Formats: sequence, structure tokens, C-alpha cells
Amino acid sequence: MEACSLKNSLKIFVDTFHKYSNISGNKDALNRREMKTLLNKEMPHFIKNSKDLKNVSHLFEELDTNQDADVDFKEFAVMIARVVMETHEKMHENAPPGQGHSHGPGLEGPVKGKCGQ
Amino acid sequence: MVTKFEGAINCMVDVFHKYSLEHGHPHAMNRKAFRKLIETECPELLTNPKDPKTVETLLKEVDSNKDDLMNFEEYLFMITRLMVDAHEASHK
Ligand SMILES: [Zn+2]
Repeated sequence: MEACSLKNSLKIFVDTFHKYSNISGNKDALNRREMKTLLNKEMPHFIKNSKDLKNVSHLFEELDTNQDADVDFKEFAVMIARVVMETHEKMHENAPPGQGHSHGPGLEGPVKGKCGQ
Repeated sequence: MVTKFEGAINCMVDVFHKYSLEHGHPHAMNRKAFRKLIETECPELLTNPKDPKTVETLLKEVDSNKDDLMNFEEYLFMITRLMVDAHEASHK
């Protein structure tokens, strides 16, 4: 796993977007098919547990605020922020009971086969 | 095992808490915590020759409810902007 830093994550978001936006049509936007592939390949664990990501058509229409049938990077960035929000909520839902602030696993869900899980 | 992309999303949550918890409140960052976040994760914002900013002006820009703290939602707004900037920079 790569070291966690803000910059590193920003780079991953931009590079991943381009990896799929480049496939066809507008090279700097995701069409419905590209979006679907991105979600399935890059967020296979999250789509299982995320309410937001489950329905691609619905998500796509919501994100495509300028309704040009493509999700541009700005619209994609809004989606990421929403997923970060949902991830944080899940981490609190899954947090071990007790006092103080703590997080459990996020949208990937608990790790199976580990001692204590 | 999460993918690299999923890891990057989890990391966005961790980055916030790394600085907020250090200064006492898990879901809001005071000026001190915010300064540490910017100086460690993104010092370029303070030295951008085209548009130099101070920690104070950056905090004002994101602090939409004007309580002198950056809460988690305001943080998400900030990273959305940083993502858009990073995307633009990638095309230069
Ligand atoms: Zn938290």
C-alpha cells in the first residue's frame, strides 16, 4: 500500500480519471460506459457497500450537472468528495464501541479471516 | 485488500484526522491544526508565485460557517478544489 499523503491521493484521482476518460469519445470526460468500468475496476469493494455508488445510471445523472452526457473532472471530483464523506460515516458506524473518537473499517467492510473479526 | 484508488479515498479521511486529533477535536481543525496540515501536505499553496496565500486567507476561504475552524465538510470542499487544480495542472 502506498504511503498516505494528500498529494499522492490527488495524483491517484487525476491519473485514474484519465486512464478511463481516454478510452473513447471525449478524452477528458467519462461517458457512462467508462464510468461503469472505472467503478467496477477501481472501487470493487466500495461499490458493494456504498449506497451512493450502487446505481450507476442514477449516480451518473446526478453527477452530470451540466447534462452533457459526460462526467467531466469537476463532476468526478464532487463524486470523490461524496464517497469520502460516506467512507467517514461508515468508519464511525463500524467503530469499536467505547469512549473517545475511533474509526472502524470504511466502505471496504470488515476484513474477514482476521483474528477477532 | 482495498485497491490503490480505494486506499486514496480512505487516506483523505485519515489525513484530516491526523491533524484534527492532534489538536483535540476529531472533526474540526483549529488554526494551528490547519496550519500544520497545509505546511505538511501542501506547502505549495503558500508559495505559489502567481497567487501566494497565507494560512489565514486559506482558512477564511474554506471556513464557510465562519467559526474559525475547518470542519469535515469544509475540508471536503477544500479537497474538491485541490483535485480540480491538480487536474488542471496535469494538462499543462
Ligand atoms: Zn472521524
